[in-house]
Amino acid sequence: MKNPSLRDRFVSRLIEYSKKNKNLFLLTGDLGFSVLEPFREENPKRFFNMGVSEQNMMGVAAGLSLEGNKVFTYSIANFATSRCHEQIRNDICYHDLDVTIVATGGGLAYGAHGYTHHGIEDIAIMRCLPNMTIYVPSDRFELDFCFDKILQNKGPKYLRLARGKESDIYQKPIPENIDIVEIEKCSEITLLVCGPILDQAIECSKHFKNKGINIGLYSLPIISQSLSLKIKRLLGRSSIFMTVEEHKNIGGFGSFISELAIGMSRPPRIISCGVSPKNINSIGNQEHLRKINKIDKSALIKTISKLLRTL
Amino acid sequence: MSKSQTLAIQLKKDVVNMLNRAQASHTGGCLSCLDIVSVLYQEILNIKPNKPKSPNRDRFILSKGHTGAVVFATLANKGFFPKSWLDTFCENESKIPGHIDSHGILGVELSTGSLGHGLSVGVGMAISLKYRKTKANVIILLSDGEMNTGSTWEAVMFASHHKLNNIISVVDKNKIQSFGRTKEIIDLDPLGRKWKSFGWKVYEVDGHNHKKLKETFLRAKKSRTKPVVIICDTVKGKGIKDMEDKLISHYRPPTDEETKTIMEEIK
Ligand SMILES: Cc1ncc(C[n+]2csc(CCOP(=O)(O)OP(=O)(O)O)c2C)c(N)n1
Repeated sequence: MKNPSLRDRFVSRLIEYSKKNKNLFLLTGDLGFSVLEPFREENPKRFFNMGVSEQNMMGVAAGLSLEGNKVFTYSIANFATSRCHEQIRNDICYHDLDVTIVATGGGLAYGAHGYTHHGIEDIAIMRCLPNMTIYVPSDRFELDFCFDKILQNKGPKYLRLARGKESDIYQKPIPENIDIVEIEKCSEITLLVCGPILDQAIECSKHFKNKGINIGLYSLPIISQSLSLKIKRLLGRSSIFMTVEEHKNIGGFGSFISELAIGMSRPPRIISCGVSPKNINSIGNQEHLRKINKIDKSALIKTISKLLRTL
Repeated sequence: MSKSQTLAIQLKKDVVNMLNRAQASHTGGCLSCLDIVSVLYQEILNIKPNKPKSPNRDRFILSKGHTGAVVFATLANKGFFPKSWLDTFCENESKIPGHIDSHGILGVELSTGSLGHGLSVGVGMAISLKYRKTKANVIILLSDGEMNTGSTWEAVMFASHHKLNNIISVVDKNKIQSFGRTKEIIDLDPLGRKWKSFGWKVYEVDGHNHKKLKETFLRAKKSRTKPVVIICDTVKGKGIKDMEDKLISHYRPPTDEETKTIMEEIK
């Protein structure tokens, strides 16, 4: 049998968990066609299509959670974050509630649908909220890794999925006792990557490996202040870090890493690669938009080659 | 055949071609509002391609931005930009993406795609037009799924409170949204009575009957004291048999076969 897509994997994990935990609820903002039906069939009383009403959805999620339930909401990145930000801020985060906001279309996954559908500021506006943990899995294995942590985490969470059909990057499950996945050991230049753009970074690091040059590579599927110490320790081990994310290069993963670096006595140099604000109305598919924003494999190789020449 | 019907036939061809070529979604909602848009652009709206920024123009907002293909096709047919652009719909470096966008396009007032924005922006325009004593109208095309959004109802209340009689809202009531039938998700009915109780003048009309649509729009423009809503009874996926009144029409592009049939049907 073919491997299930990342999105289907998420739903099957949720169904599996709903059998054990009878306090699990799933709310959707009129999305999830051909994805969420199995959950609805299994749990008709714990599933609600809230309609196109994301603000209401987040308030209702908070109410369910205050009554002791574990709640998941499902929508597209901007509708799940920007549209209902204050409900998330006040009702869910301020009260530190067990709500997981699941978004699809994180990054540039919606391609030619245009700017209204590009989830490229979501991490920035979720990251600044109290008690919030962000999960950005790059493939099924990272999804499983994140999902296990989500089940244990009783606070507000943002699970950012992209197209939901990303192919496998890893070959085996990620051990649960780590938070940062080492793919290539630190070297003079090290890539720190968040989310499905990881496949491009891996290709890039392979390119240099074939030439006998080691480029460090780490995947960070979790963004949380609780990882500060671990990340700072990692930041002490290279002189240059390049952060890569499918998100604006303002306020997201690169900013998260830079903020931690600023607090170090000898901060490394950090180069942040992400979606440039000047490209927001470019039109094209995901691959094309990645290229324009210089976060595809070839652009990353170019950036690193240039850097290497300056060393 | 009326001029708007002729336009509708052309639009149907263009839109089905665009969606098929680009393998794009939202076929159902495009086909349900196509007659409404044809009548608006052919008979009602005062918008001229040679003066797209004229202060006296009517303002049209497509609030259900996911059906931008219909408006792009209309603007191309009306001469706002070259028709060849339609062949690039959703392509890399195109000017016309999947959701309606105003960047680099003349004739589009507002980029939308997130539901529940259009009416509020329309209210802002209507206030300004009144302030400047401009006799233009603001016409906003909404979907019925959009009637779930709280922001829309905020604007509904505000518009009638301020007697914005230069606003015409049009609801494409095709009774299906993204993940089910409107009746099963949040039953909107009686939708007309809801708008009425919020202080609007309400018309309900067959959204595929050009003659009735035209008459109703003309009547709506004469409203003296109240904003007007025209609730259009429509069929999602209208004109493609396997899509009519089906949820799948929200996702599936027209097949090659269906596209061919449409082209032949309306030569
Ligand atoms: C705020 C917001 N939430 C969710 C969506 C995703 N979405 C796109 S279309 C749609 C509903 C489709 O039904 P309807 O609005 O009635 O449009 P139509 O049937 O006319 O195509 C949804 C939920 C969105 N565009 N905006």
